Amino acid sequence: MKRQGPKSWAWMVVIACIWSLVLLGCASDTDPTTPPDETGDDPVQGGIFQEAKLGDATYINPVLTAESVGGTLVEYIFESLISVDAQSQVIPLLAHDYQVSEDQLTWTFQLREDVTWHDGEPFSARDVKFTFDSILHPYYTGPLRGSFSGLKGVQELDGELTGISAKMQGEEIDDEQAQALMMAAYEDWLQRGAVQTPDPYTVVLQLDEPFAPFLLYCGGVGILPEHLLGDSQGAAMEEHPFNREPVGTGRFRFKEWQSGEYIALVRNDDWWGDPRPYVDEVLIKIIPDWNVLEIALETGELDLGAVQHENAGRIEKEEHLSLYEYPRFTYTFMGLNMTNPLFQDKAVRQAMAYAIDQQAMVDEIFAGRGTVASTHASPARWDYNPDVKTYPHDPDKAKELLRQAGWERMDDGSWERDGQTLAFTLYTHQQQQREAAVVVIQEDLNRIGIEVEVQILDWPTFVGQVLIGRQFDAAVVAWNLGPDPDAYSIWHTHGGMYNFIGYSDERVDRILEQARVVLDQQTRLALYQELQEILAEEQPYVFLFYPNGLEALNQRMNIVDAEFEPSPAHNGNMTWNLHHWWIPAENQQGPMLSPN
Amino acid sequence: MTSYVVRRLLSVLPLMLGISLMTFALMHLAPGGPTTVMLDPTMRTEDLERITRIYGLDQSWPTQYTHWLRRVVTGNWGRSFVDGRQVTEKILERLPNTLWLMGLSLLVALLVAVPLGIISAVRQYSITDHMATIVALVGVSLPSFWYGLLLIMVFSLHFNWFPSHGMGTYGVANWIDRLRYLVLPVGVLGLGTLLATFTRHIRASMLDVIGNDYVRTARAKGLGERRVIYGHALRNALMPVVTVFGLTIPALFGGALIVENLFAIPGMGRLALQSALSRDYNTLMAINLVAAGLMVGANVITDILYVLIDPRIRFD
Repeated sequence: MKRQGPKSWAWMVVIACIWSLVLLGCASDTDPTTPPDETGDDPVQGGIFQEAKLGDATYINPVLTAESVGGTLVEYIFESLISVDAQSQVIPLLAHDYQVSEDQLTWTFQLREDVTWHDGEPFSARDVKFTFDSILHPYYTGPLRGSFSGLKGVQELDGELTGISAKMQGEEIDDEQAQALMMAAYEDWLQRGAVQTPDPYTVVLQLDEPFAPFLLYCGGVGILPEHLLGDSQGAAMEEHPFNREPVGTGRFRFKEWQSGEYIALVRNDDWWGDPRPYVDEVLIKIIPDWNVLEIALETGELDLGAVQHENAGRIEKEEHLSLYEYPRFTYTFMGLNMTNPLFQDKAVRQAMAYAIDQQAMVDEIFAGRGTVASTHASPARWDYNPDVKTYPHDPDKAKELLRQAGWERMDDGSWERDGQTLAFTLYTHQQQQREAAVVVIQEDLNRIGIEVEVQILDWPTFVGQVLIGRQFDAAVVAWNLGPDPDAYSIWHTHGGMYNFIGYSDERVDRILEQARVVLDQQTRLALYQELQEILAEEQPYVFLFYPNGLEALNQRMNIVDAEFEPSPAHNGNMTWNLHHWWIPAENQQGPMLSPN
Repeated sequence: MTSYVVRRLLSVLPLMLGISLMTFALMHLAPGGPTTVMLDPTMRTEDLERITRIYGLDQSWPTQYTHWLRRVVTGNWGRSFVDGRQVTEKILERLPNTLWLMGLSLLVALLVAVPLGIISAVRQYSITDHMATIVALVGVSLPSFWYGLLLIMVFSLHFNWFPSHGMGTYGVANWIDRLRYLVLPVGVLGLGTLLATFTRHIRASMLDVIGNDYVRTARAKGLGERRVIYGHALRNALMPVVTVFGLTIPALFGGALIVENLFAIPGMGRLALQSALSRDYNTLMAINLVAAGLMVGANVITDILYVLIDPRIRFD
C-alpha cells in the first residue's frame, strides 16, 4: 500500500460504471407479442412451453418417484397400461383393451403393437412384466408395493420376508443368509406366475381375491424398459443413472436436467398417439419461493404455474394470464385420536364441528376459493355424495350438544364431566394454510369454552410423532386422495398406519370390505355414499375444507381445441393433455409480457 | 509460516471429527427419519419397516455413525436417501453456484464499503457520512427475504430489467446473460447486511487510527492527505476489518440460503434446507462438513491475512 491510492470519488465512478454496464446488458430482449388469434386457426408446431414447480423432482422413474413433480414428469415421459380422463373414467393407453374373468381373479391386457421406446427399441409385454416384478423385489425401495398386494402370492411373499427379517434381527441368521433366503422366496414367487406374458403383446395378471381398485393401482403404473434396467432390480435401481436420464414410451423425450434449476423435455416425433405434441420443448423450472413464482408468471417468464389463494385476485387482473380454479382430490381435516376418552364421545366431536366456522376458514385462508367439507370425499370425484349431514357454524348448538351429553360449564367457562376437563393439544405441521386453520380452530373452540393448546411441528417430526407414533390428541392435516375411492387404509379397523386416529366402526369396516371386491361402479357408488353419510354423522375427523386448485396460464398458449378440463386425478392437474396444447406462430418467439 | 499453516490444518481434523459426531447425533435424535418423508397413500407399515431395514436405519445411531465414519474415511460419502445419487456429486454440482454468489457478494460489498467507510471517517459528520450511516442502518435492518422480494418487484416486475429467478436464460450460454441473473441476488446478499457491517467497521477503525500520533507525524512531515490516508492510516485500520471479514463467512452462508431460495439458485444453502426437511442424513452430514471446512478455511485465511497486513505479527 505504498502506491498512491486513487481518490475516493474515482472509486465511486468505477463502481458506477460497472453497475451501468451490467444494467446495459440487461435491456429486455423479449418483445411483447400479440394475443392469440381467437378465430381458432389450425394448430401449429413449435415453441417452448415453460411451467414452474416449487420443488425439484427426485427420481424420474415411475416405480420410485414418491412426489408430485417426479409424478408429473413420469406422465410426460412414460405411459401406463391404462389411464383416466378428467372425470376419473378409465381410458386405454399402452393396453388397447383389457378383460377381467368372471371370478374377477384374472385380468388380461392386450398391448399396442406400434409402441417403441425413445431409444428405438420395440415395447413388449416383457417390459410390463419386468416393471411389476421390480415392485415386488425384496429390496425394492419405492412406494408402490402396497398397490400390488392383491397379486397372487404377494401376501405370502411379504409374510415370508417379514419372517426372514425377524430372524435376522434376532441374530439367528446373518445378513448374507437373510439376503439369500429373501431372494429365494422372491424366485419362488416369480415361479407362481402371478404376472404372465403368453405372447409379446398380452399380459395376464392373477389375483388372490377380487380387488376393485386393482385396475387403477396396477394399470396406472408407468412401464419401465427392461432392456435398459434388466439387471438393476431392488436397491440397485435407485442408484441407476436411468433415473436422471429416463427413457420411456410417452409423448415427450427427456432432454436435460439441471438439478434445482430446470428439467427440459422435447417432443417425441415417433409417438404412437394422436395428436403428437405441438410444442417443441417442455421446460419445467424449479422456483422454490411461491411469491417469486407468481411474479415470474406476471412478468411473462412462465406459461403455467400454481397460484396461492391469497394472491389469486392480483393474478386474475393480469391481462395476459388466465386463472383456472378447479376442485381437487384434497381435503383438510382435524383428526381426533380415538384412544382419547374425550373424543370417544360423539357429542364432543359434533359440537366441535358446529363450533368451528369452516366457511370463515375458506373465506379467510383461501379467499373463498374452496368448499366446506363435512365428510371424507371430494366434490371432484364420481363417488361424491352431496347430501350428507353438514355442520353450519352454530356455537349455541355446540354448547347445547355438550350440555345434553352431561358436560357442565364451570365458572371459568370451561367444560367438565366426571372430573375431566374438555381441553386438548392440537398439532399441525409447518404449512401456511394449516397453521392458519389451527389458529381459527383455537379461537372458535375457546369461544365456547374448549381450551386448545397448539403445537406446530416440522413435517418429518409430525409424521414421526403423530402419524406413526400416534402421540397426539388432535391434528390438522390433509389427505390427497387417488382416483379410486377405496379408503380401506384410512378408515378400516385394520387399515394400518393411515388409520392413525385408531378409528373402528363395524358398519364402516363392512362397507369398505364389500366395496373393494365389487367391480360394478353403481354398486360401489351406493356403498361409498353410505360411507360418506356415516362419517359425516360420526365426525371422527372434524372435516374442514376442500381447497380448490389454482393455476395461471399465459394466454399465448392455445388450449381452445384441447377439450380442456383440469383433471384432479393426474399429477399435472392442468397439463394431463398437454399434447393438445399449441402456441400460435406469432407467439412462439418468447413468452407474452404484461402490457404495462 | 508454512509450519504454522500445516499445524493449523492438522488441528482441523479432530475438530471436524467432533463436528461430525455432534451433527450425526443431533440429526438422529430429531424425530422422524428419511423413510417417514416417503409416505405414499398405498404404502403399508411393513413396507416402511422393510425400507428402513434396507437402508440400515433400524440400527442404533452410534452403530450407524461408525459405519458412516468407516465409509467416509475411504472417501465414500454415501448416497442420498432422496434421489439415490452420490452425495459428493450432489454437492459438487451446487458448491460452485454458492461460491460464485458468496464471492461476488463479498467483492461488491468490499468495493463499495471500503471507499464509503473511508469517506465517512475522513469527513466525519458530513452529509456523506450521515448518508452512509443511514444506508448501513437500513442495510442491517432489512430482512433479506423481504428486501429481495422488493428488488424483484421493482426491477423484474415493474421495470423488467432483470430476470426474477434462475441462473441463466434457457438455451443461452454466455457470461453477460449469467451476470444479468446474478445482479439482483448479489445486490441482496452483498449490498445488505454485508455492506453495512463492513462500512461501519471501516469507519470506526479509520476514526480510531486517524487520531494516532503517527498519522499526525505523517501530516507533519508534509505528506499529501491522500498518502496519509491510504498509505498510513488505511493499512492499520484494516486489521479489525479482516477479523470481521472472517466472522462474516458463517453469516454469509445463512444469507446465501435465503437468497438461493428466493432467486431459485441451485446452491448449497437450498440443498441443506431440503436435506434437513427430508432428513437426508448422508447429504446433510456432507454439507455440514463442507460448510465447517469452509469456515475453518476462512479462519486460516484470516490469520494469514493478518501476517500480510501487519508485519509485527509472526506465527511460529
